[in-house]
Amino acid sequence: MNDDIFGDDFRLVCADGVTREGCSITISDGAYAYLDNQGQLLSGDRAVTQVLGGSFAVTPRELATIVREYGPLNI
Amino acid sequence: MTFSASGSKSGRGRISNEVRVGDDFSQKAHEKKVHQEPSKLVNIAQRSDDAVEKSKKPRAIKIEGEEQKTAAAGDTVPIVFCKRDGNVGGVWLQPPLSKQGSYNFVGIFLYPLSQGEITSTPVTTNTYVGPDQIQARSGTVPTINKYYSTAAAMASSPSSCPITSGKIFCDYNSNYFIAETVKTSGFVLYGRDFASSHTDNAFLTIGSGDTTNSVFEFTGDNYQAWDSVTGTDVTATFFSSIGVSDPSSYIFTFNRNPRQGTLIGGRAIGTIDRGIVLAGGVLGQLFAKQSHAVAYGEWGTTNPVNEKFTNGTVNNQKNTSNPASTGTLGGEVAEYAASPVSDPTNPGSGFDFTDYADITFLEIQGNIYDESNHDQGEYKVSTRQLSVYIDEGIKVPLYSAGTPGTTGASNQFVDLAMYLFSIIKRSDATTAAVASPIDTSNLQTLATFNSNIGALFNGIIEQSVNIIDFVSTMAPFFLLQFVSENGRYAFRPLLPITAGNQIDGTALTASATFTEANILPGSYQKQYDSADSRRDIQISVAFREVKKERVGLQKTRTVRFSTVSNDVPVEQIDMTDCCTSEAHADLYVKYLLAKRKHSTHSISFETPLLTTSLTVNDVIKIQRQRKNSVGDDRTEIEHYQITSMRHQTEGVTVISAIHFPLDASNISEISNEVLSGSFTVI
Repeated sequence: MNDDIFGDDFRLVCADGVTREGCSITISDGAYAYLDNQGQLLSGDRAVTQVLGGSFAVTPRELATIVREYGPLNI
Repeated sequence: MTFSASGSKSGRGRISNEVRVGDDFSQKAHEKKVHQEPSKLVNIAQRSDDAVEKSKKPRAIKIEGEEQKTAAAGDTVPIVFCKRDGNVGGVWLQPPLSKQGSYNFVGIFLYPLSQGEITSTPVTTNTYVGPDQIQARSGTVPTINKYYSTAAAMASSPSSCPITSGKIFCDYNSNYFIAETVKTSGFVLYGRDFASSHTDNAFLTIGSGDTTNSVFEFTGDNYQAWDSVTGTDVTATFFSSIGVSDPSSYIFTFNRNPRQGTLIGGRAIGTIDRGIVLAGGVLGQLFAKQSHAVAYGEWGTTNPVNEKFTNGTVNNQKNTSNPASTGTLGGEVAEYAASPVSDPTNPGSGFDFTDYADITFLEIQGNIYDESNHDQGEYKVSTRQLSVYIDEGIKVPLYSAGTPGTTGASNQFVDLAMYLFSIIKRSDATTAAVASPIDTSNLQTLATFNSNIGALFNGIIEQSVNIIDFVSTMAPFFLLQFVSENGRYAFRPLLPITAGNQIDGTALTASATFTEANILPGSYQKQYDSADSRRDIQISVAFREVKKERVGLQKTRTVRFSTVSNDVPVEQIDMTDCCTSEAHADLYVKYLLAKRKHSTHSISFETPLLTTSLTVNDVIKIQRQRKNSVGDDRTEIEHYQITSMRHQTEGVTVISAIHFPLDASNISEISNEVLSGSFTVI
């Protein structure tokens, strides 16, 4: 899962009401997923409800390749 | 080299004119001044050939060097004909660049050197980029390779590229090349043809110091994309397609380590991040083709998309868990590969590279680029003009050695002439001498003569020439004349030579004597040279200096009779096409001056049809009785050198000849002056 990280420094609002910084975006089980700054999957009561911003590790073309496979990011 | 055989002087008994310095040239120059010459039409190759800035011969070296010349399709490939003999000869060549690439960020440069197979292989100590010896370049010393494939070999295997390094290819659609450099001031990433090409991508980090936690960052609102064909802005379409509603909140990162996966930081200076390797492949392998509908679908177009990034910043602490890096991240340089086939080193039978046949190519692998400031994101791929020393030029049949069946490098003009005739299929080394359109019986003798007098050909033929014109024009530089006699061409020495093949400074015996008895009445004509061509001059001759230890340039020598003042008019002779020896240049100029001094007039007359072996350049004796009404009755004797003989159908031979005076001891005054005259040379 960590090998698929394609974005860093994501700022996320989670279901527990906490805004988390330094998160990552990756692919998990064929879908987009977010990791906290400890590399832990944000899910359940920590599920991401809003994405405020972040840094893509890849170029727009590489990002397009990811989106082509897994669908729009909707962020 | 391209040739035309048209306009050749041929036909029984017709003799090519000798080249003279003086009247003809000045008259032509005058005509050009008063008549506007029409432009040359549909002949860009000739116009290119004529441009002195396209010359492959070094003329002057700028301190900062000249920018490298590039070859265009259709340009003339030169012929490098030379062979160093002792300290004389070889040539310095400034070839154009025909193809350039970058393989794993090592520059690859391909230069066509010569038509034919060059014998010697250039070395780094005799190869310069601008004013710098390649051997002295910083870092790894560039390597030099030479490639050649015969026309026959290429004909039997047209898809076999002679350039076998595997890093640069014959197919012009296959290449590894440097593209954009990511830097804070911005850059443009041009769309690529993924539909027609197998591809790869790689990125080199440049700058200085520690950059292991440094990356470039560009926010989405500083990103713009447009259709490379229609120009339509497709930025919004892209963000909509990928599902990003506020581009300004997102950043595109470059130089991240790794490209994908758990963040480490930034890549160190000199790191190469290669796409095919990340995908599990190795350098040299390529990604499969991809339709543009897929590759550029997110931008809503089937055309390549160009992308512009502006207002970038450097983040020196990308990974906040680690200290900020302290170096300077100057840029991230992109190198891409493109090839219509998956393995450009083995493109398959669908390709025809026979236009690479019979040309010697030079390949340089190494960074000979102009100096760049990597801290500022500079990565120049331009170079200064390459200058390369060729010790031994193309392999030709060695008529000069009496062994035309074998080939090797040569500096003999007669070998060059025969090679040129072989190119246009007028001669080949296997043709029986009697069937050859050129008399080969005296070539070894004349080659020995040329060696004895130090008249050796070391030069570059870089223009499309008429071979007959070329050989006729150049022959006098070697004290030879190219003549047509008895239905074929032949070389003759301009001056009588001894049995030991030296200029003959001994008493001569005329080959024939003509008197009133065999000069047809009323046919004798004498014409004196103009006063202008008789006055004292000095001659400035240009030739090429060739030393191995530095790039050879054009030089001049000025020669005059020692008795002549130094303010007499100067005439110029250009021997830069063939001469690399001061002694050779001096010798030819001495011949010109001696002939100008001693040969004062020319004659022509008719005689009953000659069936003897008398031929052009033979010395004849004219003995005529001079009588007039006041009782003058004396015998006039003069010697002449035949310049032409024309046998006419009515049984008459017309002879033209130039004055060739002998002294009281029957020694040629011209030859004696050349051998023993007193000249001032500066």
